[in-house]
Amino acid sequence: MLYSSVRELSEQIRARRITSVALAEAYLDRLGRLGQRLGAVATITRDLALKEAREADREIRAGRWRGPLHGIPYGVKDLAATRGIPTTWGAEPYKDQVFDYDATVVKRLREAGAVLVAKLAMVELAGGFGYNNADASFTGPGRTPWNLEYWSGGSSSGPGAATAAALVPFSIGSETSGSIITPSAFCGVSGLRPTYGRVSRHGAMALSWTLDKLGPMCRTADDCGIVLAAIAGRDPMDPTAAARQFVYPEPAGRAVKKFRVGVIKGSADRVQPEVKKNFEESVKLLRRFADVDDSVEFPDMPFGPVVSTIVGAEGASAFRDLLESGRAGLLRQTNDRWGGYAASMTLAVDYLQAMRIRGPMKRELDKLYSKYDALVAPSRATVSYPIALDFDKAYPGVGGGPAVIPAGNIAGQPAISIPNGFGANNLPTGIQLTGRAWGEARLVALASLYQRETDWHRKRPPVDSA
Amino acid sequence: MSKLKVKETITSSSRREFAKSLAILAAAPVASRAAESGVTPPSPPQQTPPADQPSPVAESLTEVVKLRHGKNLSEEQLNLIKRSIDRSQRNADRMRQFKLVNSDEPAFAFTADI
Repeated sequence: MLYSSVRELSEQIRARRITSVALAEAYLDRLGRLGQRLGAVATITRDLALKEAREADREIRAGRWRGPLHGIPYGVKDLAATRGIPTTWGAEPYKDQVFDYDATVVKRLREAGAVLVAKLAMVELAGGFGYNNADASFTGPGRTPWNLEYWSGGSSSGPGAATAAALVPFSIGSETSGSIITPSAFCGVSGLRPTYGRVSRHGAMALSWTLDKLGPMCRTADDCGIVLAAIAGRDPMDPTAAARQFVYPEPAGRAVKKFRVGVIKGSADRVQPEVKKNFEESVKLLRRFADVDDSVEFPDMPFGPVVSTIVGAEGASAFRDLLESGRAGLLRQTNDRWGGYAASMTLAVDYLQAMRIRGPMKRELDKLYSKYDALVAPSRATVSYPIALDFDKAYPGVGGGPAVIPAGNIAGQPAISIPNGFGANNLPTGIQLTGRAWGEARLVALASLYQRETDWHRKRPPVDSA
Repeated sequence: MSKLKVKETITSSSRREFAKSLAILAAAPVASRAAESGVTPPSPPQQTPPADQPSPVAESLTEVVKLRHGKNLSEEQLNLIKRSIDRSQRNADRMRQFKLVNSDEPAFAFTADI
């Protein structure tokens, strides 16, 4: 039951075969038993959860069903403000920080009837200062439930691990550049990075104002669509939050149209052999419901330098007070203790150069993506990294290929990562479906078709016996 | 971890002097290479130094970090910062190769609305 999708749980709650309180109690129990072992939890919100669950049960009994999230427990990455509950940003200097308001994403989920059971662990400051190993949170390293000696990915480490191990049915993560896609791949969950501006960031920690996005991490792509529909939309508190509607599921006429999919040339050339094999099999399967263009040339542009310049400058500005106080020295990962100081030396003209290049990059990518519903690539070149090693020593010589994740983030485009098999050490691999701005519904529809034909998303990690 | 001993107080005039010397230092390698070759420096304007030798710009910017934050940083950290700034400078060099025209605006828009 606890590994069920949101849609399945919702049917059970609506039919009153299970109560929200019972469900919340069950997930709270798992959070208590396994959360720390996975390094996935910052704060368990038991009292709030039971209060919200009781209210949900009361309303459902009275016939006031709010929708598919009503009564469903969830966890939120600990960068979203929650009134009266610590919001630590994963970092020692902020571990006692408490806000007196809720982030818009938390408010929207409450309005949809969802039940907050935990603030989930994260890489300190969302990884903005250049961490180079998994032990980069004051709660310790996040561990993938598939093998506890390996990282859950970051910076949404807690959402990835907690969702994969059924400590929550779904969670909210954030991505500046890769922080939803990576933990989704390393933990074997379905994670959706929305279009920039799709979801309000009001009340969420800022690392990079022009790159930060909040998005759902779930067991299925369909659940990602359900959650995104609840959290998307305009917010007067966040001027970047757009008034565009997110309609999910897609209107019937659109849904039956055959998909056009492109395979990003070179994206699987230098990846681990199992990642390549799983990717090729996934593409083969996609051919059942899509016209596939096997070799799409990705633009050769300096995506990596642009994203690192922007994150560096905006992050150093966002955390200037931390740097000037010297409290960056309290951060867990050694690189994080000095990385912000280096970033603070980004020259204004270099930052502006990066921001100016974004225009041509967006246009070039949009021109390419306008021909397809999705371009696909392996989510990551490797399976997860060992906890004990620095990232750059984990898989030397593997990687390269087009910078799909930085490119999508620079252009503000959506992407979804879904599990597509297993690789070395029984660790999950993923495929990312990337799309045109505001094209999330198409990506979710395509990913859902893939998941209808596969059962990778239904596999359970061996965490209970570990 | 040993901390650097840096003067706690630096007068604004000494900061200005230091900034001026940095500007000269940063510009010097480009100017001298251009003068030696007798042609306009190629794009990117600064040649990339060998990987094991941080550029003078990285050296100079690290001095700024030291002046601003030295009391919070060890020598080892300052060396790492120097390497990191050097990498950022290489990124900046790569970005400078990207052809932009005058009308290419940064990807944000100011609005007078509150």
